[in-house]
Amino acid sequence: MTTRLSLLGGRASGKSTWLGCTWLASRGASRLQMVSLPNAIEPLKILSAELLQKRYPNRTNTSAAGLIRVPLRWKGDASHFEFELEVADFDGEELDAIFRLRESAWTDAWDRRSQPSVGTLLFLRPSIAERVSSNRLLAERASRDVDSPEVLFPGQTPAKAVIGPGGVSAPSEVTIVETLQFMRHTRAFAVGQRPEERLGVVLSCWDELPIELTQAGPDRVLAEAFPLLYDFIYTNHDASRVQVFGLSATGGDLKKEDVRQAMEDADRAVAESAQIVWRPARGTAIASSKEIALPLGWMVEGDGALK
Amino acid sequence: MSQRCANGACTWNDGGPCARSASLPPGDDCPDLGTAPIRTPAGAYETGAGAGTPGEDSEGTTPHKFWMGTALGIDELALTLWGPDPRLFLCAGSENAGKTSLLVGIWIELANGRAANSSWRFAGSRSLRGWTQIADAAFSWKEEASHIVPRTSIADVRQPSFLHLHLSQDLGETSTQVLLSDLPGEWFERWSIRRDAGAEYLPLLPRVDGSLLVVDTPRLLKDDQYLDECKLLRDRIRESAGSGARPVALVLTKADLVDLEASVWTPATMTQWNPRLLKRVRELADGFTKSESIGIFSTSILSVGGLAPRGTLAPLLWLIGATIHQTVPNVSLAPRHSSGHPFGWVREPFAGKTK
Repeated sequence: MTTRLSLLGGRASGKSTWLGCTWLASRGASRLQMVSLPNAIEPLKILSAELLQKRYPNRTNTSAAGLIRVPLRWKGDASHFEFELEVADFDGEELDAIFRLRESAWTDAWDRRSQPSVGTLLFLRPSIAERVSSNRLLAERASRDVDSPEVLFPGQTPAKAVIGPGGVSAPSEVTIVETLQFMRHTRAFAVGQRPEERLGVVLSCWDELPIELTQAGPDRVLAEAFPLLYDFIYTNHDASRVQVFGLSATGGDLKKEDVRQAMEDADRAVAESAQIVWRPARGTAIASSKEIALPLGWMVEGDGALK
Repeated sequence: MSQRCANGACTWNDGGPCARSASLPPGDDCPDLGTAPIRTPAGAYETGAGAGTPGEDSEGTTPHKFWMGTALGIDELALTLWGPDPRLFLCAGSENAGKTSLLVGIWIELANGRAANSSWRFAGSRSLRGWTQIADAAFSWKEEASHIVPRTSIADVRQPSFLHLHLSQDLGETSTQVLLSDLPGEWFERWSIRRDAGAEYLPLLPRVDGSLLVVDTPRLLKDDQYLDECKLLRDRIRESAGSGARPVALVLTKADLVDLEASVWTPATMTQWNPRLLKRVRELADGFTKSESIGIFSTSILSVGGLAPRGTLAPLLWLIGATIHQTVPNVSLAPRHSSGHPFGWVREPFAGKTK
């Protein structure tokens, strides 16, 4: 059975890193196991080559990686699930092009992405959400008025602004909302109509967030860092078919020498360094695992994968 | 090869103006023009007007697959009004009253999750580019600029434009479409003076569900002629409703400039106001009869020189509540689960200051 998974995410949202790490993990001790070597492994090799060198995959290369088809087995809670995964990576900048150029940038690949057989994995990176609240004047005010919105600039980690209600910012998730609307429109979905497929939201680079945010849980970070998208998901999906994960695919920033050195010293591969958190149900404590393939497992098995 | 427009509602091909000129950023080429892709039967896209394919029609164009995302024109408005549960709200006020800034505030507050203290939540929009366009202008505002957003000028606008929202409530069980007008103040000034101008400039008036009467608060305080103009506009809005009363949200903008808190006001709390302002607002509000729904709101979009909209969403949410006549149940493909809610944390209501 071919299981078609749609990956979605903007620039530097961590799609390629997760795909590469998951591929590497599937050949190790993961609950996800490769059943047989696929015919063509070039796309997977492109994704994993840099990771094996403890570097992030090159975005330009991965966007050219093309369609990935790999036979896999997921060790589920009660049974095993065998499937051929079909997934395609893409350059996150395509979302900007779709927003700007509309159908001129909408390719057949996007038509296919709109029709996933199991669902969509949406990658977001809260630590680089463009929460630029206003201009220089507001920044000056923020420094002398505690009630004023916190000002963040591109690349800064949202320390307080995503928690407090006072901040205002330009929504960074508009292009993702528009793409999701187009995908729904392609399937002739009405507003509020809920797809049967699952939606996994993966908040990448979880380790980049301040501890007080990670303690609040991925569901709350989604609501505070991407409020427009949160409401869009909330109103257009069945809540029981949505799961929010916080993912640190590489356990730290591979651009930092000390992170790479620590892995080297511990003789630990990138694929063994993953940390993933989620809230199993509303009001429950946050759960965690080192199983990087868990979002994929949840896609094919559902909540049983999280037990 | 000359460019051709793919928008069937536009008169460009016949030498007329571009139908989207009102909603396109300056310098942007109209996306309908010439570059509209033509899809071949095999599914590949070709770009460029006149690209000969078996799939094109006699004009060399194909219908759009998606909406354009800019503010809606009058034809798109008409189509949307045929959709489920639309609410058309007139954002009325004289030049520089703060109408477009109010729209910016609504968008920014909505996009920052501030609808969470109401039952309504964002469920989509057909004009995300339009919202982004006016918000980007506000975010790049500099102190020395006289306007927070570019003025919606009568010279720029050749047809009315509208910003669109889908809002849902009760976990997405019901939804409504909101259409907010973004029209130049000169149109309202002409309409105030001459009723016929309404038919000329505001052909949508018979279909309006409710209005935001936008009033420049600092000007109201010091200019009796402006108060009179606001009263005239109020009376035109009432008159256009005919025998059926329509709710009106009286929106006092630029509250930060007169040390007025952005809030929802009641007759009891209004007594705290500057007596001069209280007198003028009462004069405006007293023009409505008891059968008409009136809400009074004060709003601000700046705070000590920075963009920080306050109170701008409240009038819209109030208008929606005041115009509920029907809600359309959504269709669900998947079974609903009343327990276990693994979606997780639900945002607490916005803890903004309210009176």
